[in-house]
Amino acid sequence: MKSPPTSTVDLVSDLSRGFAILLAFLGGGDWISRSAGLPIPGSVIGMALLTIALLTGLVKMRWVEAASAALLSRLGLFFIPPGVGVMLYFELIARQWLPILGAMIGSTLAVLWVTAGLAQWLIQEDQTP
Amino acid sequence: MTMLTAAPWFGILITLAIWHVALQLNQRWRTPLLNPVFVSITAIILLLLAGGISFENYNVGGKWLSFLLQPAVVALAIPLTRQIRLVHANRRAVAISMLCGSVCGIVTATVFALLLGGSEELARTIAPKSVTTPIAMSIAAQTGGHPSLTAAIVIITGIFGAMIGPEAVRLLRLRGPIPIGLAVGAAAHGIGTARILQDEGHLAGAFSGIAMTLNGLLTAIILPYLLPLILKLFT
Repeated sequence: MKSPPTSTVDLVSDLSRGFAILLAFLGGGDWISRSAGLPIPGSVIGMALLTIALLTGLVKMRWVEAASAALLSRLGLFFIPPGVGVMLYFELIARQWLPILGAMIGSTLAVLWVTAGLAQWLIQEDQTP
Repeated sequence: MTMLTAAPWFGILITLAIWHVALQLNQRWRTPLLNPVFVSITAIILLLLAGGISFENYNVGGKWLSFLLQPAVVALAIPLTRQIRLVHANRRAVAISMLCGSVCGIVTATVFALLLGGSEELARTIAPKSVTTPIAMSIAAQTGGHPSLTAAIVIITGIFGAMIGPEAVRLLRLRGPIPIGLAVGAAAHGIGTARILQDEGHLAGAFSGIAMTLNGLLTAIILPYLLPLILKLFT
C-alpha cells in the first residue's frame, strides 16, 4: 500500500481520477458487449480489461485504489434498490413458492459445498506433490 | 406524497439512512441473520408498503445507487490484480472448482424446481440463479425463462447465500480464505462477495470476486447446452 493522501484535496482528486478510469473501462466494456452482442455485461468485460491494464502497467494501481476501496467497501449498499424491486414479484413468487424456495436453498447449499470441497481438496493436493 | 417521493432525494435518502442503521445493528449484534443488505431491503419494502409508495417512485432515487454497482464490478479488478500470483498458483483448483460449481448450480436448481412441482418455464427461469443479475437476465431471456423473475430470484439467492455461506462451508469443516471466497462468490455472486469483503478479508474477497466473474462466464457458455438435456431427462 502507498502512503495515504496527505490532504482532503489530494483525496478528492485521487477519487475523481479513479472514478474517471473506472467509468472509462465500464464504457469500453459496454461498447464491446453491445457491438459484439455478447450475453456478458459491460462491467464484467471492463473488469477483465482493467485487470490486464493493471498487470501490464498501462494503468497504475495508485490511480484507482482510492476509488476502488470507496466502492467496494460499500458494495452491499448498491444491491439494495434492486433488492427492493423483489416486492414487484411477491405474487408471482407466492404462486410457486415451494419449487422456488426449495430449489434456491437446496441448490445454493450444493454449490457452496461442491465448490469449497473441490477447491480445498485440489489446493491440498497441489501443495503435497 | 407521490409528488414529493417521486424526486431522486427520496429513494437515496431512505436507502442511505436505513443502510446506516442496518450497519450499526450488524456491528452491535454480530450475527449473519442481521445481514445489512437483507435488513435494509426488508425495512424499505415495509416502509414503502406502509406509506403506499410505489417501487417506481422509490427507484427514481434508487437507480442512482444501483448504477454504482457497475463501476464497482469494474473495481473488482483491483483486488484481483493484487492477488494475481495466488490465483495463478492455484489456477487448477480455481478452474476445476468453478467449472463443477457452475454445472452443479444449473443442474441442482433445475432438477429441484421440477421435482418440487415447478413448471418447465420456472425451471428455465431459475436455472441461472447463482450468477450476477445482468448475466442471469440475459441468459434467461435467451433460454425461454422469465428475465425479471430471474432477477428477483437471483437477488433472493444472493441474500441467502451471503447470510449462510461462510457458516455452511465451515459446517463441513472446510476452511481457508480461498475455498470460502470461491464458494460464496460462485453461489451468491455480488451480494455474497460484499459480505466476504466485509467479514472475511481482502484475500477471500478477491477470490469471491473471481468466482462471481468466472461462474457468470461459464454459466453463460454452458447453460444453453446443458438446460435442454436436463429438461429432456426430467420432464
